Amino acid sequence: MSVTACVSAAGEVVEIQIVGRFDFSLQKAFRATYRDCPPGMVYRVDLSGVDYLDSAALGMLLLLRQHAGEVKQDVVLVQPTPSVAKILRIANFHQIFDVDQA
Amino acid sequence: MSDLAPSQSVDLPPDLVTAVQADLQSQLYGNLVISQATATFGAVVCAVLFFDGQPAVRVAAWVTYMVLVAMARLGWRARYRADGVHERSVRYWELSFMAGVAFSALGWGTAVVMFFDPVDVTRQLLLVVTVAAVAAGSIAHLSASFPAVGVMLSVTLLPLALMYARQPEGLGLAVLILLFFGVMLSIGWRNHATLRGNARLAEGNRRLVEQLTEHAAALETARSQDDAERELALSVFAAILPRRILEASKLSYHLSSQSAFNGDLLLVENHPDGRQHIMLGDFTGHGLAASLGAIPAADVFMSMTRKGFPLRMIVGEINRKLYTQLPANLFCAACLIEVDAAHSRLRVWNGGLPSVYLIRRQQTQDDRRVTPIHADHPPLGVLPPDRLICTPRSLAIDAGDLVFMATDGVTEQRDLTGDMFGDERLVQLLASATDAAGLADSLKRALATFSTGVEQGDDLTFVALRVGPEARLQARTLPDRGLPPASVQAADWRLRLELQAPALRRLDPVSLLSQFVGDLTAPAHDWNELDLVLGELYKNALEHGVLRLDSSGKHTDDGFEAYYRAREARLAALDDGHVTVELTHHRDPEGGVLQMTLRDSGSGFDHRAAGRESGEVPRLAHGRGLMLARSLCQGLEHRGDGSQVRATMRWRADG
Repeated sequence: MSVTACVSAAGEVVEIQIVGRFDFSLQKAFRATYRDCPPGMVYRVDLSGVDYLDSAALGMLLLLRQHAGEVKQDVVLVQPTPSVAKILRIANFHQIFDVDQA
Repeated sequence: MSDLAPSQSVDLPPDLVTAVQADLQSQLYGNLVISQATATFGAVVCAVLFFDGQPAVRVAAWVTYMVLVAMARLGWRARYRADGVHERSVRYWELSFMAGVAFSALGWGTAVVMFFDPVDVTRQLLLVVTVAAVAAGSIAHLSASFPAVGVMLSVTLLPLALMYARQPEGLGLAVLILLFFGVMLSIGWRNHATLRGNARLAEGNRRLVEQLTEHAAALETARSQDDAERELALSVFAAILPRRILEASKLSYHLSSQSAFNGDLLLVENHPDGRQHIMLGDFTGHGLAASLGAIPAADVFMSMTRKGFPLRMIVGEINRKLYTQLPANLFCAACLIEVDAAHSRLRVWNGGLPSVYLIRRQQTQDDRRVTPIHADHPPLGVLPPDRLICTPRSLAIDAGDLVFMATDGVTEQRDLTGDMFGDERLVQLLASATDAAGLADSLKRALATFSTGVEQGDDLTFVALRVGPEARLQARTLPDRGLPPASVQAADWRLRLELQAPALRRLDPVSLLSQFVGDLTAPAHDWNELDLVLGELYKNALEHGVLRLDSSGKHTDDGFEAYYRAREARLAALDDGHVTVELTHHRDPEGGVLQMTLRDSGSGFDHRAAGRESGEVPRLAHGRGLMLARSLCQGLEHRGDGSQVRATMRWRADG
């Protein structure tokens, strides 16, 4: 279980990668990736390594969205695994997040 | 030089002919200083000898002519030296040399006419000797160009022969001079032929040496490339065979020193929840070819294990990678095992490797200590992803049991007579093993003794491990060692678990329970959703029921954090309260129905207001967990004051 983040060379995109179980135990580490970022950034959250995601993780994503300014394109959920994609669909996250399946 | 024209040397390339000519040219021009010095000296001697019979002006003019020719020729030589011989200038330099020879010969011819005295016999003889010496001396110098020899001889000797021929008594001498002319000409030709042959030989040698040097350099380059590739293969293998991890893993193993070149791969990595995954692979192909496949395989194995993926998904993914990325003749006989000591489970997926052996610490009822687990799948990378069955076999293990895996190098080790070590000897050895290190040592010794006198191929790799003592602590969650056969699995059962405050503080029962349900009911089924639903219901019961946490602050970053800080603090201080989990399973033809009932010691909540419906636009509010659980279940209802929840989940055997 880990959270890593890196900012693109141009300083506009923050790549956040989460691996393993995405639940409340990652809350501090996840928040640390964006709390000091100025407004106007784009966040790409790489979910390709996540095999479990619960309601606390959904809440954390909503908080990130709030931080980013509640614009749909500003938070992109990248490559969720099928089981995670199902959870995101149930929660209707595709309506408020860009989900990048490619 | 016309005899060296390409048309007459069909076996030589044109540039070689030019090179031979150039070599001869340089010989001509090389001797020019000496020859011109001798010629000038000869002219002066000649003039002194014959001076008294001639007017001084004529002799002086003749000597001046000879000196001028010599100087002109030396001047040309200087030019030649400066310009060198280019392919196109070979002909030009020969012509210029010929002109020089012609002028020089003309001088000597003039001398013959000038100094010949039809009366004075002594003087005639002196003249004959001088001119003959000049003609003979020029042969050596001019032989590189046969036409030059011809011109020189003709112009010097023929006038003399002509002079004698005009006198009746001189006819004999004229014939002699002509004979001398012929002999000189033939010597000139012989010399020329020898020189030309030598030049060719020298040129040929030079090229040969050049070619050899080139080939040697190419060979050297190829060899260093090969070395670099070996080096690369070694370093790739060193990187993907993390010996450090192997050494820290407490496995007893033997990994052939040639593993980088025979394609044996041994990997071990820990699952986040403490399970251990071990992979032993034997790639077709050697060296770099084998490491081509080993890189993705090791990569997938290590990273997926670290991320906590189950064994069957890892098997599937490695197979998919090898199948899609590698050529058809490159695949990997492999065995992947999962040692789950906490749940006393061994999962084995054996694709094309020799049998894996489970050696029990104690005799079982059927009195067999050593259980072989045969390969029941093809090697990885052979079948398309949708055709490979990735589900591992699951066996009960106990602390102290041994697991043994090997590549085919062990049983196929031959002795002097050509007999193979074989399964029987191996099983005998395994039956007497008590610990992993001892087993590895005795097997190494047995193989060495068996193959005495035979050159050891050193292409065998094996690993033995002992199931750790933690298995004993929690081993009794299962009613019996060994899962019931598949036909009995998914039977009807009921489980009731009551967790009091001390247990609630320390234990997260959710993954334990879903693992248990999976193992008991259908190990092959993906129980991820059960994990999630049970997790959400348990979280609600614990956080809102027992810990009385209020979610209403969770819509800000700080509130979210405060919530989980409060959760941690209250949980640590908890000394009263309980959660009861009751699971009931009914089998049906399609799979089964699982009913989960959770009761907590809290005071309940207004469940009619909670649990929004799926389909609504998500808002930053609580209640999402319940919504998720509701969407994944076939039914979810709260009872009483809300402190009791019952959820029903249906699972299908094919999904």
